[in-house]
Amino acid sequence: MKIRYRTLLLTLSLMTLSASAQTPFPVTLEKQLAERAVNYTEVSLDRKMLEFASKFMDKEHDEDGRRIIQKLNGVYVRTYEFDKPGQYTAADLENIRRQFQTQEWTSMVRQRSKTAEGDSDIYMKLVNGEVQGMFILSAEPKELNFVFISGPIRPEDLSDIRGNFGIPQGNYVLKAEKKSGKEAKQ
Amino acid sequence: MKLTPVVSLAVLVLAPVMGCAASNHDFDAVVSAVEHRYQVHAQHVPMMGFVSFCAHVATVGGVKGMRIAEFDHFSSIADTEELAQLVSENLDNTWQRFVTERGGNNKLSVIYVRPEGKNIRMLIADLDHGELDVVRMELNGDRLAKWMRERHMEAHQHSYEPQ
Repeated sequence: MKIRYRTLLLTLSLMTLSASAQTPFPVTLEKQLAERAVNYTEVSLDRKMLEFASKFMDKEHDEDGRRIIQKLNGVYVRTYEFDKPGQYTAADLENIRRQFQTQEWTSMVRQRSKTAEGDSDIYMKLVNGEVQGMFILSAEPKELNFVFISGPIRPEDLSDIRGNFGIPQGNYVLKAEKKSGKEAKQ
Repeated sequence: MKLTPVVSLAVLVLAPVMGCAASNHDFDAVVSAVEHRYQVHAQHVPMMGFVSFCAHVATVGGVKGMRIAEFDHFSSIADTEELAQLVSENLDNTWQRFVTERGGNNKLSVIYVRPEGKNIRMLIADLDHGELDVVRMELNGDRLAKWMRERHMEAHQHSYEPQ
């Protein structure tokens, strides 16, 4: 019985280790996009790193941001800049979007332009009616941005944390806020 | 199983030394792998121990254990991705990739972190203009944040002082 207990403990420890070794960022095309980009930036902050980073936020002015950050499990940002348009295809984007077309993810914002000058998507992960994650995709002809936030977050919280931890100051934040405002009124 | 007082004392004395050796191991492994792969030698930074001590004192314990390896004329690299991979392979799985930034003209910055209690151990490899710097340090978030806030407040007060 003792051996079984030890084996169970060992298995659990190994599972924890392998789980922590896996990157939780959900987009599978990372490597291919990085190869095609002239500039790319990846920022990955798990809960411990967020806790550490929140210490450097201004206690007076960023109190709301600190409160939001302390509840999150992780923030993952990927930015790819290309030297010319056409370095990613509509099919690449569809592949990424398909990863969020599951029961727990809900499309909140879907913006398409005829000229493909700026498409954006915002998906929310809903667990028992509460938002437990958010994925933002922003595509321009020569730039792609992905932001994945794991943990409890509301669209209106985005304005308090954008500009921090590599989260771009994009106008998708306003879109998400407007959308959530409209939904609240309905 | 009870530890005898002598063994307990030995563990207490040796633990920080072993910890330090283990932390140096990661840095040394990366530097050695770069030297071996690209046939280059790291420049010796004079009085590095003293510099590290000064950083520790100046930041009131916010930064410690600083080590730097500098590679000048690091033009032998054709693929920055390979360098990023080399750094990754020489760090064990307790290190997490925190930031990767790759730009044109063979620019690369990778930052790895390893949480250690309240501290964060950080390893940075930065390649820019044919110069590669590998830096390792340990950061105490509370102390460093406090030190930064104090500097910020000082700067703020000075900017409002009457001329």
